[in-house]
Amino acid sequence: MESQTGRTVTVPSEREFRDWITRRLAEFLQRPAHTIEADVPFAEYGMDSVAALSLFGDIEEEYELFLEPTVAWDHPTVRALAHYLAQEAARELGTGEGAGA
Amino acid sequence: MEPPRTFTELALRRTFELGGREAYLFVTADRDGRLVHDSVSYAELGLTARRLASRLQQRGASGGRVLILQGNGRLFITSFLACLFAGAVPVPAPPPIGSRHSVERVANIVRDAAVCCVLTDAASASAVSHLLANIGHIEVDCLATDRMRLDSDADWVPPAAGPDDIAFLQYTSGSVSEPKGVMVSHRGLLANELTIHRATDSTPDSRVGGWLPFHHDMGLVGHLLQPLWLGGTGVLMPPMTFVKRPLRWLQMIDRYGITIGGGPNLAYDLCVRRVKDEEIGALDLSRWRVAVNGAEPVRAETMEAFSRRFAPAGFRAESFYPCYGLAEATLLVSGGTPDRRAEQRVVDAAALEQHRIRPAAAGHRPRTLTSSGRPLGCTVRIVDPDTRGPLSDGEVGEVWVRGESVSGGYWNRPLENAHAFRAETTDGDGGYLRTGDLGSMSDGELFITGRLKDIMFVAGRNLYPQDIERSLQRVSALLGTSAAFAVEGDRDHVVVVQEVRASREHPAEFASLSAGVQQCIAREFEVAVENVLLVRPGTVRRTTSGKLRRVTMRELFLRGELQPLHEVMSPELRELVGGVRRAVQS
Repeated sequence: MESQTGRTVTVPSEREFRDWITRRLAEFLQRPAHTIEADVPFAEYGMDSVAALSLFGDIEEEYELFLEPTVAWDHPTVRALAHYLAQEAARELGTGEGAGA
Repeated sequence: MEPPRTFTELALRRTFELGGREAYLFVTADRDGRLVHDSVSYAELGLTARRLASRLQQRGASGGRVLILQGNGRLFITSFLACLFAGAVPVPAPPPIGSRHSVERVANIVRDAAVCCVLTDAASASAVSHLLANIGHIEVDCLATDRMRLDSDADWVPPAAGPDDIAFLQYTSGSVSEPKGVMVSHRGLLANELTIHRATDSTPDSRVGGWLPFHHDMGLVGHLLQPLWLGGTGVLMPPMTFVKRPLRWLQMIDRYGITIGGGPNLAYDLCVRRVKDEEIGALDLSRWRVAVNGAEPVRAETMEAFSRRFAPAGFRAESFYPCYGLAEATLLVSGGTPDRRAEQRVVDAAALEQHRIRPAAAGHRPRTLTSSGRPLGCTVRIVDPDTRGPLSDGEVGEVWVRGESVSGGYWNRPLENAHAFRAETTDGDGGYLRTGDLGSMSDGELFITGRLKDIMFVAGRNLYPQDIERSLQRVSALLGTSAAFAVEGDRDHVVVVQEVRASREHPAEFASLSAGVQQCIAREFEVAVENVLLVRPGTVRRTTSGKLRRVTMRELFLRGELQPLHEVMSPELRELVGGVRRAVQS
């Protein structure tokens, strides 16, 4: 499938989103990726509104998914956010996969 | 022609005289990440604002206060000028979206300022009406300005404001539960715009702007109103566009030729961390003559890192313009000379923690203080906050400011105003604003060293400990009194000392309680608190009148005398505190 910028994109899996979010968080929060666990709330890692918006800026650029800022507080762990993103990506790319899962 | 006596007169003249000239460019990024803009001419701005003003006058808003909750730049400036043109007092505040505390804050501003009307947009109107109904203020008009058909200014009556009337109320001070509106007069606003102009050598050809929100003093007075005062062009971007991708701010500076503008220290830090090397090569920042660094403590390390990183894009280190100001003085209090590097002093970090300036001794952690320049258009004195005795050069005390731009006080708080805005030193020198900031003068240069007030700067926001402490009461029945305070390092580290009522808890339960504290603060304030100490009941100190002694708690924490039952601490703070404790022991 072609995106607006002409890149070929496939729907990333929840697993890919999880790995990607973990790597980005590790960079924003300046800590090793292996210390970030999928089920620990972002708040315990020191994620604030600036880090959340930074992450969303990267999600926009990487996956062309445009999210409301409140999403990070409604899905406050790596696992929850990855699950949400996988659903959104499936919806956005029109495959319907994962939507409503 | 006589100089304008009020900012309203000035704005009216500009909009009539400058006609087709571009007043503002509102820049955003499209879905492909490219910068796009929407421009408004002086004539168009004036006409729309007069039409809206005539509607406000029909609704009886003249002489009243009007809350402005606009996220869009064009709607904000139109609403702001419409209030002035209608003879009403604009009260800018952040639109109540997201966290509970942002809704609570707006509700408390509605009550404190007793506003008669709210100007917002169609997207927020129903939420705002709901909020007004919830707090029992159904008499307040809520208007979505982008949905109104504004066809005529024929009924508009020019207002009759005087120089000492209030131009706007600035609610950047005070906690969520007790917001304080700084009364900025026309005289004060005109004086400060003149000061900013002199300080930055701005001209009508300057391009002034940035991404700061307009309910913020620097966003409003520095970025939005300075171009109007000059008759130049302002270039503005929504804060969210910047925070999501800091590169866009720098691209805007490059593409639209911004010469004057800036942000808090955090903004430069974000650029250093998030802009990629390959993106820097495509930037031209050589026209950015005055890169303002203010509104938060200025860090020498950040400016150095930014200057080094963006030198290949033509950024010059001497463009950095560290300065000091606050809403209580309209905005600018002190600043340096453009094109000249700010002075710096390397001092002993631990001694500074004790409010003393000493050269950094060998083996002690140093901290570099950057000068906030010289007082501009005002008098600054350094005063002992307890005795009110004047201090001499090199001593640390409270920064007191007197001048035309200093506000008469907070809306409706006469008792506090007499103390905070009309203070007198023991040598009989009166009429000073007590800023609550600590600093020191050295050869005419002002160095800000810390603060007396409880405010904390976190993630680009001002946070009040009492708001955090109040929220924590809802976390668990096991939690008692708490005290929140900041420890300054390369940034503010928030520490929460929380009393736990249970005596025989298991470590696992302590961990879950401290996680509960962190999640509560994250949810309600969208900031991270990495440092939580759970302590026994009775640890948090109060005065005999029951006031929380946060300063005492902070000192006990720094000296390592708190003996927590459980503690989580970030590695940076652990290192910082270790240094202070070693210095105290030696």
